[in-house]
Amino acid sequence: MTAQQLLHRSIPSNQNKLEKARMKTLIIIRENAHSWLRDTFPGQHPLLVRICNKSFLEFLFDFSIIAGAREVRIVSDGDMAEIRDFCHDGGRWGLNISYATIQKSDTITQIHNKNRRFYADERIIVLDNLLFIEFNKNESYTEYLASSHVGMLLSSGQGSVYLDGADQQSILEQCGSSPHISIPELGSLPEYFRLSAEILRQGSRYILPGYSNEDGCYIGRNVVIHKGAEIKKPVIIGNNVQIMPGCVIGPEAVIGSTVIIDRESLVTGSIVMHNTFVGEQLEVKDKIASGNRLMDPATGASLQLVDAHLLSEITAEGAVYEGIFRRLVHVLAALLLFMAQLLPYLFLRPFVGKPVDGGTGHEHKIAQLFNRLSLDRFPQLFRVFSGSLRLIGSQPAVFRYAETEEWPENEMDARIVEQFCTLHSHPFGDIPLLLKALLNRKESKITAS
Amino acid sequence: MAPVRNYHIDTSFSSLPVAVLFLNGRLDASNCSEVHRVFSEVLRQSTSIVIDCTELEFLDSSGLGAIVSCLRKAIEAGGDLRLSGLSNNVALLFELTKAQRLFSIYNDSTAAVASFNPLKPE
Repeated sequence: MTAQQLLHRSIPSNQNKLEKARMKTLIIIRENAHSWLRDTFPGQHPLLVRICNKSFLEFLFDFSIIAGAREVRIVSDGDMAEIRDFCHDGGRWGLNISYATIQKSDTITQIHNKNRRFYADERIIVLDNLLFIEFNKNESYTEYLASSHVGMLLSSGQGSVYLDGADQQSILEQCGSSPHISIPELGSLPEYFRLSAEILRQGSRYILPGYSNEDGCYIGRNVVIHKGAEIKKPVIIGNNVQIMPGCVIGPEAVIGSTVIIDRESLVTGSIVMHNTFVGEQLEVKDKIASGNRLMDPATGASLQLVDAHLLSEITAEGAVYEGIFRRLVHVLAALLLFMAQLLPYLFLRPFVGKPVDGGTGHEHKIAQLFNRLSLDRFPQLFRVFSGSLRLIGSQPAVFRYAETEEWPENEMDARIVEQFCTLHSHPFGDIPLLLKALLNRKESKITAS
Repeated sequence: MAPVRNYHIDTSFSSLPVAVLFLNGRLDASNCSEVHRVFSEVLRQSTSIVIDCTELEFLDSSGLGAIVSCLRKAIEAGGDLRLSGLSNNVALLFELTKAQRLFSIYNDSTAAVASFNPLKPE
């Protein structure tokens, strides 16, 4: 059920009076407020940071709708481009959203005066510097707010809610019981984490995104849950998510949009923000994973992982361009290697591959030379030209990154080197690594696939 | 910066010398061979080893792999490897990869060394 439908349901008998007593919402955003959110989730406007897969701003819109407002004005003393891009005219929420700027030094009275034309003669609810407001969609706010006296409704260090504009006491009778409305403490990561868990636990009080066939389970669009994965309520999963076999998700897990949880990983009591890849057989317990960053709200620890196979940000464009460029570099390098190896290969190949028992010491030396010059890899160069194999890289490749180092003694060591090189490599950086692998052939204990 | 600051042999328990190896700075694939080398050297002197991570600022999966590899070598030699002084950030990687289940982890190296005391049950 949408907020609009809920509103219609909640309109009481004095509907005609309420229609006359129309409500509007003024959302005031102060640029310097909520700076902790900018530090924690950089690159996003604080009001667009998601909690339970929905931005703070959308929760404020929900409250506005339930309060009976159809027109919303957002005013800010900072850049509103990001907010405008996200909200546009508000059509997708059934709202009419307008924007205005204010000065940093503007007092609340000056803000009111500047927006006097937006008020007109109507009642207005002002959400001043708020991130979140606790409400219950199942209760009726329209009549209560329309019949309350003008003035402060709620105030805390996290912002305030007050009513302004026309006092409609004359046309409406004061509502008996007041519905639930409060401002939660929300000034740090642990408080964000606690509020997220609370919203999820009390999901029926809010309008959470996703399909919900049963309480405490919200699943978005294009979600693939592979066989063998286990989902435990309460849980919310965003759009475009893949949960691989053997995973356990929940209870109290928030999985954002465009997320991959790889095989046999556990995510419980945690938040995985959007565009995040969680690797295989990991345990994300009471943590926040955002891109390649893992945060522990309990200790305040924050770790930026450099291992893409553990935790990483899902991006598309850069990887595609780099892949094409790398392939080009590999083909050119393979061409040079092909020209350098062609004559030695044609000359030495007839002497190599004969049975060792029947061979002479001279033939054995030729075989050694053949391998030392990496001529045994010569036929694989054609696969580089066809694009089916990389010249150097993690397995499979003509030369493995592991062959660039002398210390790997076993396959596990080799994988450690490969993971490091894969992460830190650059298309041009593959050239010196190739030369190193060529010179290292004498010592190498690792074999290519 | 070399990941291994130094090491010493603690002889508090005359019957069981315990080697304490101090890591510092960053431990990743570019320098974990140093840990392999020093650990092999330490293992020749004692099979009861503590790695003190108090000054270890950053660890990646290669560094973690190196520490796990050291544990394997210590167990193969009939001893044990215990860790101490993990910072919150380093502990996060151990929790994420479930590596904390492989190790006995202590708050400081004194407690870790004391845990090897054959006369004192853990």
